[in-house]
Amino acid sequence: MVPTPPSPGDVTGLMLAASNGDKQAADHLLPLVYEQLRKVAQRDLAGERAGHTLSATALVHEAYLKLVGPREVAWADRRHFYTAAAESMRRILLDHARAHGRRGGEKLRLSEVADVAALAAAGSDEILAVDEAMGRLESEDPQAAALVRLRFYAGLDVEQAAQTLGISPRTAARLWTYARAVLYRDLTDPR
Amino acid sequence: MNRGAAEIFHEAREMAPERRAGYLVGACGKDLALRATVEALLKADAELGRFMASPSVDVPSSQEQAGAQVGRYKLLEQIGEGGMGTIWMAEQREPVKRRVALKIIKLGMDTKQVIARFEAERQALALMDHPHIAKVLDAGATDTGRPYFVMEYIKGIPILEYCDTERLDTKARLDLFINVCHAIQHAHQKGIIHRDIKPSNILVTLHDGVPVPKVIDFGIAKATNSELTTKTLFTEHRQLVGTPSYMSPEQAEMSGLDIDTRSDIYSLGVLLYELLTGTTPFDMKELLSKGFAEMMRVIREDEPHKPSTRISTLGDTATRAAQQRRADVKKLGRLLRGDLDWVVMKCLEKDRTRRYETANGLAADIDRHLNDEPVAAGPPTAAYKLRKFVMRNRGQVIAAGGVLVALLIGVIAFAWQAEEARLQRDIAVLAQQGESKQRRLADEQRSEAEEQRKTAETERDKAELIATFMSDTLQGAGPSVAKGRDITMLKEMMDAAAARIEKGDLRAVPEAELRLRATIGGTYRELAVFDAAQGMLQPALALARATHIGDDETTANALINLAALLRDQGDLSRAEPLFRESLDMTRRLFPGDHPDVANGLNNLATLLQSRGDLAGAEPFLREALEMWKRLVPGEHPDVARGLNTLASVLQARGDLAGAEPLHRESLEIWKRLFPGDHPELARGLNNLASLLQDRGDLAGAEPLSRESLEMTKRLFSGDHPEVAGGLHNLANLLQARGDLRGAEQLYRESLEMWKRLFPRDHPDVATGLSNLGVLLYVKGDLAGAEALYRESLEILKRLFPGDHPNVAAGLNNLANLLQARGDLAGAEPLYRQSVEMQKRLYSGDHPDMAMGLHCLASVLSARGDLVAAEPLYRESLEMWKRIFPGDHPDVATGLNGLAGLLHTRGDLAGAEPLMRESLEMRKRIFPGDHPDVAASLISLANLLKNRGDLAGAEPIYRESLEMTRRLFPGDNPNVATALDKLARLLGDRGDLTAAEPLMLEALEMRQRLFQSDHPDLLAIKSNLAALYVKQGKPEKSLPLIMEVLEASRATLPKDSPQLAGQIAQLGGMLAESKAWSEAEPLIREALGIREKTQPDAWTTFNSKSMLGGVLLGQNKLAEAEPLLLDGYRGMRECESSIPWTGKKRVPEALERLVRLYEAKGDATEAAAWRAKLEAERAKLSNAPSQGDKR
Repeated sequence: MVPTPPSPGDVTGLMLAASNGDKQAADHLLPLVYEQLRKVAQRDLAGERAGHTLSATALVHEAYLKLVGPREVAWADRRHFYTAAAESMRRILLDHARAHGRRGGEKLRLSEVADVAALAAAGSDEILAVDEAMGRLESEDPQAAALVRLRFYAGLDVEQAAQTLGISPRTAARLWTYARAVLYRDLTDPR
Repeated sequence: MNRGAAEIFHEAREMAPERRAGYLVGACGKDLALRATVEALLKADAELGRFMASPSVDVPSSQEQAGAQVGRYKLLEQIGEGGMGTIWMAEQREPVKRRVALKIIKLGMDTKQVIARFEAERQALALMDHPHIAKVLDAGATDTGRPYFVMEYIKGIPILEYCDTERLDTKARLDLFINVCHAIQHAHQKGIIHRDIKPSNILVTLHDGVPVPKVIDFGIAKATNSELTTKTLFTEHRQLVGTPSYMSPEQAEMSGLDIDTRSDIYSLGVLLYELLTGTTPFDMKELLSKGFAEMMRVIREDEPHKPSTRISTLGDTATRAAQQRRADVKKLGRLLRGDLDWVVMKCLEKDRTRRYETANGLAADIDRHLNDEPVAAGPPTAAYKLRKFVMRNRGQVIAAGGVLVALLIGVIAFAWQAEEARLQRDIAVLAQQGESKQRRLADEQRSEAEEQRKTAETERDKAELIATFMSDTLQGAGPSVAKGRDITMLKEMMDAAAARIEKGDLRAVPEAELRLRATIGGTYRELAVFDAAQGMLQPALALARATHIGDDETTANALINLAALLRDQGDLSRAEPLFRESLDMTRRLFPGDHPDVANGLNNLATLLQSRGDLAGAEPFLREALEMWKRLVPGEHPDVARGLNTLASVLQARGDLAGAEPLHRESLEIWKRLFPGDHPELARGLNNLASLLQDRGDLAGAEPLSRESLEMTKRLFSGDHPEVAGGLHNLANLLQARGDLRGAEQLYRESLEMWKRLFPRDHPDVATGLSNLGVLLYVKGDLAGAEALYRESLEILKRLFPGDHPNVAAGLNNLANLLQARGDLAGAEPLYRQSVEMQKRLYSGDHPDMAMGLHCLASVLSARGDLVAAEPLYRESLEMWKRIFPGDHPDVATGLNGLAGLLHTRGDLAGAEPLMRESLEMRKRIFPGDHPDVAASLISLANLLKNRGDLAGAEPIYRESLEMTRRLFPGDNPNVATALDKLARLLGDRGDLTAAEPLMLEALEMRQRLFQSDHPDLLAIKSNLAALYVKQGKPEKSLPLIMEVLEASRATLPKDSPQLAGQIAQLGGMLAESKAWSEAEPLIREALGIREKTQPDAWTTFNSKSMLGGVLLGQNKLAEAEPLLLDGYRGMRECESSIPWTGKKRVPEALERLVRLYEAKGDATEAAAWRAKLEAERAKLSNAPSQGDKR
């Protein structure tokens, strides 16, 4: 197949190009994904929908469909998309944190922060804290951090994340258990 | 933190708490930090609860892996992943050992409910047994509580993928689809609705190389309730399940309508749509971007485009889609238009009662389409169509206003016999609905600018609306026309619209009238209903000029339309100025390079080419070509085509040397544009081959022609019109090379293919028959040729009952053949028929009609009716001169024909200048050797000979013979004729020794060419006999005479003047050889016939005199005298009717009388008669001498 540079809005093309090693394509992907995700997340974050859950899975999936469509793309090639999605979600949360500041009322316990919705609801302090903890995990164990990003921020399940990272589900499952424990410990450690 | 910690952490975690401590001690050893880390992790793990638990339901330890046992199935390999779950290949041991497919559903459903629902259908599912259905065998729950289904293991590819990868063409896709329909039918009969038909649920496997589709996932949709209802389109976790594009309108309805089998039919329709076009009826991306509610509305309410329409609007996607179906975009559109469009749209009806009732019904209709039978899903009724049309264009219909709407209704109602009143009501209702919407919209946008813009657009919209409607409707009827079905309905509808336009219904909206006139006029033209077309297009031009002052595209278009019509009608002289005017206007509208200008140049050039003004056409073609080269960078088909056209003009002018490089250049472009096989490339090869053929380079032409044919065979495997055409062209080439056997075989092959392609009557079959006939004609098998011509003509008559140019041409050809066979009586009425038909077809001048008149004149002339022939020759010549100002082959032919008539009449002085003019013209048109030039040379030589200028005639005869020999190496009738002519001239000059070998050569050639009873063969034998008579070699002349006599008796009708003439001539020769006793019975016989049939003709009297002469020769003076006197007196009396060729008979008769009285010893009488003889001779010496009868 003759490789042609993907056109600006062509997310699929960017994805595949990035998968083939095109660094520029990977860079171009992020703003597109971010934009899309921000749009859909906006509604949820603004609290307009009754009974919202701000499911990262649903949002990212919706963004994926909008940008890429229902076509079959191998998971390994989706990596850059979901990485960008995760990064986008992270930034959205940070934007939200900056915009809304501290949340009043009862503070959520960490063990109840099951997903990004809860994190968003938990308040800016928590968002920032998790963000910092992620940064530390990144420097210690990049693969674990990547897994957390895919699972938590991008909403992939274990199998999907495993395929994206190119590891077996079993390995991913174990790594996930481990990563959660590490992060939790980091966040609750009073040092 | 290192992974070492992780390992220990994992190990410890899975242990029972009491064992943990001990393990930790052992694992960490002296590393206290490590131990602290692991312990901290373990503590975190215990406390983290739902921290980052994430929405997905998963419990890592219960992930299925290869080797796991699920129920009685052992998982072997994960083979797929769907939106709903994973699919495994598994092995079943009990009770049967076999491979199965296991689908594990994972989306956190209520497993109990799922299984229960499945059980409800299990019975029915078990009863399903169909080669195209993958059976669902079992269902259950995994250890971790997830539902799973067990299915027949199908190793295959989803159907769309398969079709695209294999690049299956439309027919192959339809064949697969029919099988899918049968499968669905089977399920429906068992009471099972699939509910989730989509491409990923139809896998194609190969059994012995044959693709077999298998529908999978029956019953699963219902059981898991993941069928596409709006409620479950997004699960509680808002994951999008499946593709809404396959969702039927009733599923998009949120009213909870009962879903039945017809919902499956809808999905099948979407599948068919995607198979045929490569896209779904609604654009997925667009749907999603509009939001959920809008997406559902679109599915429920909006009309998708017909597949053929979709193809034409897709651009690049269409090109790819076409490639995957082994076609190009145009061809794909053509395939889909009509039947397939209707079948698909019937499946996709919003109203499910209008869909196919059963899947089998759908399959049957497709089957009918594949067999060229009419499909049940015909074009919908007028009212329905109108309804749909209005629905699609609600706003515009309202804006168009009453007049236009009334026009539409009137037209449809008339043509489709719908009730006008009811249609009116329907429109009104829809209009109202639309109106309120319009009002709402109007309220919302109340800016002045909007209003102004809208008003300006209204005019255009109205026109657009009308044009769209007409082309929509005409398109619908189009396939009927193409398939040769009844065009009466289409004509009626157009007539109705035309009538209304004439009435002035559209006077208020001139734009609309112009558009409509153009559309209807154009269609009439295509149908060859020229009068009606003119009625539309002529006023259109006037209207355009009136409403668009000065240079304007609309006017230019109107000019072109009318010009094209006139051109098609053959009225080239009136078409030309219009083409010129339109070109000039276009040049002013678009100064510089512009496609419209290039096209205009091309149009004008083609017209001039048809008029024979090749010199005039050439510069325009060159200009157009240069412009195209500048307009399109690099290689482009238009440039290649332009080169081709220019080359063909040069070719027609005889500038073959100039044409060849252009053809080669064009071919190069095609080669670069399409490396590998391509139809344009094949055509380019063919064109170059035909050029080389014209140049006489037959050896060079043949490989190209063969290559073109081979390529065409590869491109269109099996029977195909292009292949038939290629065979035909090669046959033509072989014929030119003289390989008549090879040519005949290929002609027959192409004819057979055409007959297979077009089992019913078809113009190409008629052409094939006719061309094979020409071959047989050339071979000399006139009888065989005649049969084929007749068959061809019959087909044409059936195809085109009534008047048609092809029928007129066919009549003409057959008449030509009969004339060549000598059947003048049979030829004349056919010529007349042809001319009459042409008079009706062409209101003015037309080249074909001129030719028809010319041919009729020639047969009348041959029958001796010169008086009737002359005006026709003049008429045809004048017509040709009007059509082709300047040099043209047909004008030369006309000159020649008239000259020939004058020649026959004896007006040699009048004939000579015309003949010279014709010869000079031909020499100008065809520099170098050309059959027409050779023929002209012979005619002129004949004339000179008849004027007595034998010395002048001889070199011209020689020139003609040499040219003919060069043109036709080997045996050829023309060469034989030329030899004959020259030989006879030499004989007339007395050079019998030189004449004889030439005549013998001619005789032998004709013997090889013709059958023994061919008139030309007899003629030359006769001439040779006459030669031998002159040479005084009776031993040679007598046998020939006898031969000719026998043959004449065999072929000419008994007791006919022709036979009498022949016998008389032969008798005369015998008399000349002084073989009196042999001559006498013959002349008696001839006289007998003549007295019976034409007692008062001069020839009868001549025969009398001849008989007298024979008796005189035998000294039977008493018997001779009365005959001689009677004969002479009789000739005197009808002296005026003796043609100048017979003038010498009179002195002959006188001479016999002189001899008689000399023999009798009556000197006085002898002297008196001698005086008369001298006087007669004197009279004749002032007149031209005569030639032989042939």
